[in-house]
Amino acid sequence: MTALLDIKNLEVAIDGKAILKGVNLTINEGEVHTLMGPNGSGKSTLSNVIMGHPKYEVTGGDIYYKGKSILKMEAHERALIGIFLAFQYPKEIAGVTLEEFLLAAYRAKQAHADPSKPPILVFRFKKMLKEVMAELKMPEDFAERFLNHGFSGGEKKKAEALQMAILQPTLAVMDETDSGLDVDALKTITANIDKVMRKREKTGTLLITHYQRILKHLKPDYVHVMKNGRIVKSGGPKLAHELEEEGYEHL
Amino acid sequence: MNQFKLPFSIEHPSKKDFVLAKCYEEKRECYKLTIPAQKQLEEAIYIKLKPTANDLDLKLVIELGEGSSATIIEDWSNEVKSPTIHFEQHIKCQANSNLKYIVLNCSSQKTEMTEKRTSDVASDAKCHIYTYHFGSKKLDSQLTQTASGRNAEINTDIIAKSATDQDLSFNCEHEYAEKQGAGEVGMKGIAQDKAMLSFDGMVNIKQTGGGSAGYLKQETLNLSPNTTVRAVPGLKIDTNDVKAGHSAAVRNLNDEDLYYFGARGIKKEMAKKLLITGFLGKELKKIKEHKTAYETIRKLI
Amino acid sequence: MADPHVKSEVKEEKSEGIFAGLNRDTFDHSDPSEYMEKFKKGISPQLVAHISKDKDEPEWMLHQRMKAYEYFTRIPLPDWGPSLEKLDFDEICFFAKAADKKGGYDSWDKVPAYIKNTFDRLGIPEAEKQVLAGVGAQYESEVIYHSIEKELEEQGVLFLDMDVAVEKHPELVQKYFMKCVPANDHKFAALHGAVWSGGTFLYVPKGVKVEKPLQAYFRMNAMNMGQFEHTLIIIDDGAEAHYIEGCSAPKYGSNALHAGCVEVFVGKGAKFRYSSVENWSKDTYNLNTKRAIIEEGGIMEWVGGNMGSGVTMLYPCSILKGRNSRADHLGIAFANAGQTQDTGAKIFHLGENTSSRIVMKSISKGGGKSIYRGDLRIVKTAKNAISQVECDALILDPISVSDTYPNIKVDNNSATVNHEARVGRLNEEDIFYLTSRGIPVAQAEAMIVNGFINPIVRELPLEYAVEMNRLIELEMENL
Repeated sequence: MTALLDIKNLEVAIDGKAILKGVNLTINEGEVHTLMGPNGSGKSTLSNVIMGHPKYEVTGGDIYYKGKSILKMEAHERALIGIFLAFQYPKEIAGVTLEEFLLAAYRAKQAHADPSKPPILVFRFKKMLKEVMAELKMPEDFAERFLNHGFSGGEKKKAEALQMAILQPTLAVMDETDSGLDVDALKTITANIDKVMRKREKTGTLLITHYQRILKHLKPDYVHVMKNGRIVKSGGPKLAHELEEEGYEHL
Repeated sequence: MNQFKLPFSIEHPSKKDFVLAKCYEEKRECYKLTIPAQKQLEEAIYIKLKPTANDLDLKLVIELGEGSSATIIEDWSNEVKSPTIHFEQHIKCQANSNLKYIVLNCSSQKTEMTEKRTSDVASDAKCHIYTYHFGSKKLDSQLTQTASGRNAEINTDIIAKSATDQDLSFNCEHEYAEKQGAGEVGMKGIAQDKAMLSFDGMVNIKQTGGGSAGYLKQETLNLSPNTTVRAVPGLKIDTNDVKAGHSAAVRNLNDEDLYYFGARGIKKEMAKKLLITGFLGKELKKIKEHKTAYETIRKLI
Repeated sequence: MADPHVKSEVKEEKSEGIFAGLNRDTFDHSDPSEYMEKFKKGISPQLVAHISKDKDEPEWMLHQRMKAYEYFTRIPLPDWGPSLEKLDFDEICFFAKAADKKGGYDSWDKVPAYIKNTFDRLGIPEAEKQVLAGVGAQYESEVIYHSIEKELEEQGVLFLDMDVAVEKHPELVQKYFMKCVPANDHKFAALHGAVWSGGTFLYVPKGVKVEKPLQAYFRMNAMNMGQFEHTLIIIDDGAEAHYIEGCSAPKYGSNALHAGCVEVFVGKGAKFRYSSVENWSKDTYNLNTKRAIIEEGGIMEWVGGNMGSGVTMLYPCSILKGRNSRADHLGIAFANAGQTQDTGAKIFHLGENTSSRIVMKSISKGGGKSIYRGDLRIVKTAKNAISQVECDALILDPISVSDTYPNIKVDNNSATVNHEARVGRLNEEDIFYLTSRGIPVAQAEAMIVNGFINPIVRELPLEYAVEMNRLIELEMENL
């Protein structure tokens, strides 16, 4: 069976400085993986490289998505084939509303899937958006606000979760989606990830986190530890508990 | 109304609500539009310049009587193809009046235009001028608003797009000559292709203008490598009991923003369009209620 | 972790020893100047030739001086900025020597007592002992003292009186002298080129890092003096240094002129900081030109305080020539009664990825006028250039003035420029809060003003930061 995501010996540099030094990671359909590790170990870099951030230079190795290398694809092309990154620090963009933004994204995805289909009508889209927002316990005017502009940390994370729910990706990379959330918000968002990703077939999730607590709500199948640009240890859910108690130092 | 041959047409449901007169001035055609005291106009007065290929030399005086209020839209469509345009305007807002004045310039991109607009805003009166400028090959625009009475409020928003080989230059000054004046100059522009775009702004608070608050904000999006963009945000403050400040920013679309759009499957061209519309978004919303003007501008961005 | 807070307090106590005695008289006090009888006022080609001969200069320098003089006669006064109407060139003494010792003495003990007293009062020899790596001191047109730490000399660092540099290192000087600021740049650059005298020459060889600051102090003493010192600084590739300039002059009630010129060449990957506290008397026209050319990866920092002078026109300039080069301009201007502080910054971005930052703070009081004038240009080749400008102005009373005239020109769409300015007065609530704790109003105001300029003052070495704060307090007291 072809893996959903297969990262082989990935080496990445930024401004000539090596950040990832040979990362190997395979995610099969139906799996939830967690990536943990200290600050600066390369976790966010990995997530941005999967998404295709132009700033990072891949100096070695490859990334396969459903068996095909995606290194030459631009970010929007990767998004259209089902890759989604929930950003750790989503951009604040004044002047463009969340709704306008999502409509453009949704229509792009729709046109990619079936170019002959006419674009979704605005009122239909609004209706769908409203339903998803209600599930996520978001106030109605949320979508009319400028994209992440002046949002609190928690609101930004919710907005990312909302985008994921609308775009229904196949591979979701969640970069520190749990940080800055209170317990209630964490529950809502993890329930949503569970619903959008795990309950759907043929999807995979990579959850990047600092803390163990999100794992209580969202049981991972695998846990990986990253340090100095490499995955130094992989294991089952137990590994997360060990890390909680012993920290990263001994690895 | 049409005893004399006008270079523009005027649209308004009730032509009794204002007075248009041709006044005598050497060489130049001069018209005066007066809103009588205490008259509150609900609907906007639409001044539409007529299609022409002749040179224009025109003066328009607007006077709002005490306690009156009005919205006036001045529309230069792309049918105005005059080789040269000289336009002069003086606005007088008497005490307690309130004017919203919208200039919509989509004149032909072959026109060379100079315009000089001034305002004189009396105590407790408000004057807000919006200029949306997309036309002209070459433009030299001077706009000076003066808060000449206590508590006067003057606001100016200039929104411009300079593309192809256009050369647009805006000079806007707010002068606070009496106590407790307030206002803001906003200058927002987009430059692309081989265009020139120049914003010269000035907030001038006189020694007699204690208690005034005046701000100036300039923002330019510079989209192409061959543009020339100038920004001069000036302040002249002659007393200490003031609140004043200015800011100027010149930048291109942010790569990180474009990446964020890309990560959601939105192509670069689309992302750019959204971001540019977003850049002018707040300014556009201000005239959303004037449908014709709003739609015209949306199309041009 | 060490506690930097505690450490700095200890240091401050020590430093207050140096400048604690400063008051307005320290600067305004004049010493006798009988030596002036020998020197005539006014400018002529004969004077220019005389200066060159007196210094025993090579032919090329005389030639350059005469050419500059010719420019001076042709170039008009600037048609913008503050009025220079009352500046009478015929009333200025362009060249005067108080002691006849080329290159200056190498020990304070040898400096004539009446000159040494002045510098003692200003705290210079004491500062040298405690914190500096080298000192130059100029009195009227000539440098009277020069010294540098032995180790630096051994590493090849040259820190000399400019006149001596012309004699001892002619090739190096000829290669750089007035190449950064050409004599035909403007009228006062031309004047400077004709009658320059004294100043500092600093050369830091490749890779040498000078840790402690070097300082030059320029003092005008006699009435109607003109001072035209030339500062030429070459920081070779990968080298680092910090140079401090201090200036003052007594008050006479008739005009003095300072038209110095500072040229800085920052090599590849080199780093240089130029700090100055200019505190000329209020009869002085301070029309100074300062400019740096920065090569690839180099960093130039200008930190300046302008307290004195009747009219100041000073716009330190950075030419960011090499890619990845950077310039920081930090400045404070205080305009009190009768003063016009027309200061600012000029930055030219030529290379790719160049960046600049300007932070200016001005204070206007008693009818004083402070003006920020900026000229920021980003040319086509300067891809991805970034510039950030912040100007803050405090106006302390209804009769004082603050103007801001920044000029920004961008020819390149990958550039990012941000400019911000705010003007306002002292916050009454802040003052009330301080006075409610028993602090007198004047002192409370001075504290807040010091807080306002703190972000820039703290970039100065501690001893000079203390001096700066003291100067601000003096200006605040002085109505």
